[in-house]
Formats: sequence, C-alpha cells, structure tokens
Amino acid sequence: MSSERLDKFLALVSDETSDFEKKVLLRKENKEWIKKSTQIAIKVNSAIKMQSISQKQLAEKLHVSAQYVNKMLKGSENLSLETISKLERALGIQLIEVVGYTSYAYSKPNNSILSTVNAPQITKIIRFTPKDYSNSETPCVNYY
Amino acid sequence: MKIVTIFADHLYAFSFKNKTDELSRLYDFWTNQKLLRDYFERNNRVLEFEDIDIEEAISKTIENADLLFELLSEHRNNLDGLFESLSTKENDSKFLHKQKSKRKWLRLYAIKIESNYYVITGGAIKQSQTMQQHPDTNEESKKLESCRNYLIENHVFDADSFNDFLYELEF
Repeated sequence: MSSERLDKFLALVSDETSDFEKKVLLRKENKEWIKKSTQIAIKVNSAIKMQSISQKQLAEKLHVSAQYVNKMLKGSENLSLETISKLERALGIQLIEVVGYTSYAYSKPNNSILSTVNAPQITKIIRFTPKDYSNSETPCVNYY
Repeated sequence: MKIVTIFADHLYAFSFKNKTDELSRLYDFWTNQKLLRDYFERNNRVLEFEDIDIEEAISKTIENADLLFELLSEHRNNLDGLFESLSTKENDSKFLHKQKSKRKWLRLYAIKIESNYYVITGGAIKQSQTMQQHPDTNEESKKLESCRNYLIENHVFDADSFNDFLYELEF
C-alpha cells in the first residue's frame, strides 16, 4: 500500500537503521538467565545502597574492575556461581540457594548456621530468594 | 531531528540531537535496573499507587518492557492492534494522529502515518492522570506536538489530509 502521504514520509526517513531489533532478539534468546541476572543485580544494588558501599568499593572487595561492577549492576552480565558467591560474601547476603538438596546446611557469610534443609534428592534447581531474609530467623525454602 | 527505521515498512522512530533513536533510548532505560532505581527514587507515585516497593517496581517495569518490545517485534505487521488514540479528545480520522501503546505504567508515544505505519516520538513511565501533571510526560506531550509539526512542515500529507489540516487550523 502506498499513498502520497506515505511516500512523503518515507522520503524523510534517513538511511540509518536502529539496532533496536537486534537488541530485542538477543535479549529474547537469553531471556532466562538475563531475568535471573537482573534479579541478582536488583538485590545487590539494594544491599550496596543500604550499606553505603560505592561501586568502586564493591569492585575492590570482589577484585574486579569498576566497569565489570557497572555492567553487573545493569543486570546484563552472565554471572558465574563463583562471582555470585563472592558477592554474597562481600555483602553478607544470600542471593541464590539450591533447593531440595539432601541435608544441605547453609550459613550466613559469618558461618553462623541458619538452618539445615532435609529434602528429596533433587540438586539442580536454583531459586532466588524473593526478599532479603538476612535478618530473619527462618530462611525461605520453596519448591517449584 | 532525524527519523530512523526500526522495522522496515512498519515502524520508525525519531532521534533528537544526534542521540540514539527514541525507541532504543527507552529500551536502554527500561531494561536497566540501575537507571530504573534512580528514577523510582526520584518518582514514587507508581510505588504509592500500586502499593509496591522499589524492587518490585523495577522488576515489573523490566518484565513489562520486555513484553512490550517483544509485542512490537512480533506484531510488526499489525501495529494498529498495538496502538490506540492518545486521548479520547483525539479524533481517529485526524491525519498524523497522536497515538500511544501501553503496558502497565509504561507508555510509548507515536504518530500514525498510515494504517500500520507509525513513528515513535518517545515514551515515559506514567506518573499522573494527565500528561501535563508530570514533567516527563509533559515533555513527551511537547515532543509529540513538535514531531507532528515537523512532519507537517515537511509536507507529509496528501490532498485529503491537507484539507483536514486546514480544517484543524480553523478550530
């Protein structure tokens, strides 16, 4: 379909094409881990605000560059378990947990044991804590 | 002021002052939890109205932004189904009609060139009943008007729509 109005509009359009579509496709392909990475970034950002830690200080604690912390806080970084564990230790919060792990005892970073979970032999499910429960008596244990 | 292609023969977007186009700007904003936190710390109407905390506001914004952007991509051949009149005052038959596409508190603003041909002028997080009640949406309202004027100044009309324009000027 073409009209005089449309032709005049199209004549105004530059040769430039936006990279919007590429960004959307890439994000859609990586949706699952990006969603988790974003949830972690939200929790980390809450923690550093609450503890008045700068991004630079967090980078020093993690022994990574400030640029890496900045990328991580955008929620666009595919974080390794090692990095997540370092974050948990540096900030004194729990970001992820393995649910259903047999007799899995987990602790706060200061090693004070919070609880022991007795559950079936399912070891592959990682879940995000919906709220920071570092001040709570009972840790949150949910199953999908 | 420049117009760039988002999806050829369907969706376009303005870019201002040689910056990134408006749709990409909103993508970068609405999918970045850090920028959203800064925003919601300064603008808490959504939090109060929805009775949610800042973390939930950020999560829901990103979730809905992803859905909105995916819908645009998947329904590029049927954009008329994704956009609606900006307000009840806007007449559907008006040429270069101001439109919006919405998801939760997210708003994309556009001008309809023809059926299934839209050009994005900007977008915002809705914080008030009317666009004029919040500086961000007020700014978007001005951008919509200036983009429409830009198209008119560049003769994006035909004989019929020119008559509509003359009629518009009279009232």
